[in-house]
Amino acid sequence: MQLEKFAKQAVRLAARLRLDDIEILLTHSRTLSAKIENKDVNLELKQDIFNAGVRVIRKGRLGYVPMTEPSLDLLKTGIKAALERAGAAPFESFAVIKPGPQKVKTHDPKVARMLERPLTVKNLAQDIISQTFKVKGVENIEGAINLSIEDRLVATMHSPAPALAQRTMFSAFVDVNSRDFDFAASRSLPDLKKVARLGRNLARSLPGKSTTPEKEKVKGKKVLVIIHPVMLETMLRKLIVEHIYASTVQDRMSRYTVGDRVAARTVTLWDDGTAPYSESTFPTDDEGTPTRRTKVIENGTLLTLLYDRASAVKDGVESTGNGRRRPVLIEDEHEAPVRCTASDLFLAPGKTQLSRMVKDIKHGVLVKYLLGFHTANKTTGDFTNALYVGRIIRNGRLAALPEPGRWALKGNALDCLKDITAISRETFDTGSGVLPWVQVELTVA
Amino acid sequence: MAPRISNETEVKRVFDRALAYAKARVEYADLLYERVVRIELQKLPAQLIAKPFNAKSRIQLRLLDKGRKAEIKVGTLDLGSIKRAVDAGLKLLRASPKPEKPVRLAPIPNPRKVRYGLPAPARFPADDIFDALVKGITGLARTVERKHGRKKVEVKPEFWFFSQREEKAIADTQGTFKTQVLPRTFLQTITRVKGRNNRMTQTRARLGNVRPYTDIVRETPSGRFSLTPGTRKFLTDWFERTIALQDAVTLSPAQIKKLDHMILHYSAVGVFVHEALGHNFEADIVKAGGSGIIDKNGKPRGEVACEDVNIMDGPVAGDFTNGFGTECIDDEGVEVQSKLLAENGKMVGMILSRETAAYFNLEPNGGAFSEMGDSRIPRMTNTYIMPASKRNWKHNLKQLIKGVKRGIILFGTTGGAVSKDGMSSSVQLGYLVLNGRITRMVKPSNFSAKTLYALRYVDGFAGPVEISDVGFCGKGQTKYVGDGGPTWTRIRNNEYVGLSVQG
Repeated sequence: MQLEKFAKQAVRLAARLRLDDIEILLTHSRTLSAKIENKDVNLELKQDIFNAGVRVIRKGRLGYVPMTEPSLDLLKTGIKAALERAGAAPFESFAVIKPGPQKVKTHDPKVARMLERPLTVKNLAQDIISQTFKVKGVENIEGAINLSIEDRLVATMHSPAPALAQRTMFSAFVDVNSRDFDFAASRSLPDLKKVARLGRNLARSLPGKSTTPEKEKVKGKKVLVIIHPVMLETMLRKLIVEHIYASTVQDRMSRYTVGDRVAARTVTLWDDGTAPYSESTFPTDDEGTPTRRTKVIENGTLLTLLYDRASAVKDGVESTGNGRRRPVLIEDEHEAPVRCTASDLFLAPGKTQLSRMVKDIKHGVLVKYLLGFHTANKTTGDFTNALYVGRIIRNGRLAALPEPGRWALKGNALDCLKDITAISRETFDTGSGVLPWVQVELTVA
Repeated sequence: MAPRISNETEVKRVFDRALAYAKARVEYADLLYERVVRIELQKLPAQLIAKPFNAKSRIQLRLLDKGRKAEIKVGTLDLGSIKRAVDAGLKLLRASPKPEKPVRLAPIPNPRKVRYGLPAPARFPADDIFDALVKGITGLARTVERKHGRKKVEVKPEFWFFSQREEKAIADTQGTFKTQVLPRTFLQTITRVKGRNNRMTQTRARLGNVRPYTDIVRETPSGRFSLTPGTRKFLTDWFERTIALQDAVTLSPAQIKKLDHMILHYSAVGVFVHEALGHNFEADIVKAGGSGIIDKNGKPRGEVACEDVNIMDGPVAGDFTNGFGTECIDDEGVEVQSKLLAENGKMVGMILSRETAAYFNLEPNGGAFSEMGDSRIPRMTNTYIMPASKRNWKHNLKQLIKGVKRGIILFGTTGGAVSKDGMSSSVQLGYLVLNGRITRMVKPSNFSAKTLYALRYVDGFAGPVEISDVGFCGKGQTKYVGDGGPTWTRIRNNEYVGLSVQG
């Protein structure tokens, strides 16, 4: 699929329709998946998947046109309809993408080659299965291996050339006995021997016993909690970063102001759209603004807000390259409006060894996944959720699994960030960030 | 008379040729074509985003040969593209391992009937609808603000509306060709209220149904468009509740322990039934050993509820014009049945695709769905509790809480999640009940339960069965769902349910 050719045709169509500007986000992708269901592997393919998210400006009005067919006739129909009901544009024109946009690492030829070899992918899936089932006590495995290649283009009418990159993606996920999961995700190919051992290592780490808050005598009490990097990223993205978006601040719904101490002094956080082989990495955001590495919090102090172009114009500053089409619910990326959106998140590691953090806790919890965390309150940061994946810490040991349906943790994410008492030296790469384990206090509800 | 899909001739022509190409190469193939034409309006804090035209379509191709299966999603309705997908599928079939049990598909019942569905607009007066929504919702917010003038509250509703025409076609190498057309309309408001001392409260309200936009916005005799009276009342009630939450109280674990009953509104019990029970009846989860209710062989692990409880999925009383999750045929062409999943608290059925029906030697019941060309898997449509008898079914809430000394009413949800043995759902607000009377409003909470035990403690119902709780179920793919039950369901407090109140 020639995305550049379609983009040029779209720009010519925009000129014929006398638009003041057009912004085009195009993607064309192919994905191969091997789904693991106990001892079975099912291969699935998605190909020729084209998406276009187009915005147009005419006479100060901004219109949206989403479509899934590379058809200029459809685009013309869509533009005409969009202009009939276009709202006020927050800016006069779209970004002008500078010639020769920055080079970022998004493509690994090894992933692209493996994508063409379903037999290799199937063999890897079967390797995961056989190694995992060798561990005593394994009853169920669920998982998937996904490989994809995506051509992605961002163009605007007055840019000399579009931002264009080919992005590969590899991910592998394994869930054992519905009690814990592990995964690897990157735009480059990881060590496949390590991937094959994902389920085995996870199964070996599962304690044989589970326990309740009553047995541990912690119900209703505050306990020390180690937050796994996966949970920490979820907490940051769902509840905390929301308050760092300029749009939230401008709507007076944020708890933060630049210069506030919003986190413990040990916390330094970056937002990065340029990290090699990371999920958000691309030369520009979805509006054509160059991506960058932004230090958002330094030693606990909020240094800057995250801006898209609309919020940047309002504050008279430059966009930080955080204008992304962030989908919610049934939206696909190309249908979603541009919103202030964090890129990949990097939190500076601390000095404490993770094993030391565990050893120092008499009664506590390690939390990797809270069930239904998406329902937490974005406005206040309050959450109260069932503990789904984690470990119960007793006398400095990861002693037991939480008995399902019996544990819940409650707290406030914004307070958590301020009250971090330890940060691990070790970090975990989630594919969309690199983060450490952190220690806070939460109530067992 | 069910309507035709807009490009039926073209779809049939491409499908016939593509399936002929596949038939020469594999034992069986089928195709699913899905197309949605939608108008959409989003009010974000700083932007109003109107999308008066959004068209998307995708295709799913499935190949079966020698007990193996390959599934391929294709971007466009183009013969060349589908033929390339067949070729790629042959490669997948060659690479696929032999499954423990050969993949088979149960036959499609009633294969000759072609058209299903409901009348759905092909064109939308987007301008008028959007104007009515913006003016109507912001106007209601200002009215409520003025009413509470002394409290100096700011009522800030964000909203999201869409109305769409959905079309699908299913065909296979055995000559089946079926189509469905449906309308579907949705309105969500997220209301944030800023009160004194910058205290912020938030609620989410949803309306949705398998109906045209006229369910939300109507044209008056004078030709103007405005919110329907039902929509106005629904939104006003939620704005009021968000303001009332400013003064809501929390409950400590000790206070919660003292509660003798929890009374769940259908808007709170629905997501509970969906998450705690519904997913465990999906036959692919059962087959994988992931169901807390049914073992891998399709046998119940134990009772799922007390004998007063039936669990159902599908249209209520065969009414295909109601419910956000309603469909007439599934995405394999099987007519959607009203599925009795549990009767008198005992598991009696599952939600089946053709593949899982064949696996368990059962008849398919119209439970397989795909999100825009993704693979078809068992999914819920509208899932609800149905009282098995009238014994403990009261007329209204007053009668239901009469004997409750210390209870809590749980109202509304912002969603939930499920694991094998447990579930968790958020509750938007509560009301404390003391000696049979409603007293204070309680802050948002989280309701969790151990799947197999929680509904064994149901001891009463009140009001008619409603499935108006509107949701988007995520199971790797997103699907429209409805859920609910009697207006009120009373559960005796027990050790298998947990409640944790914010604050």
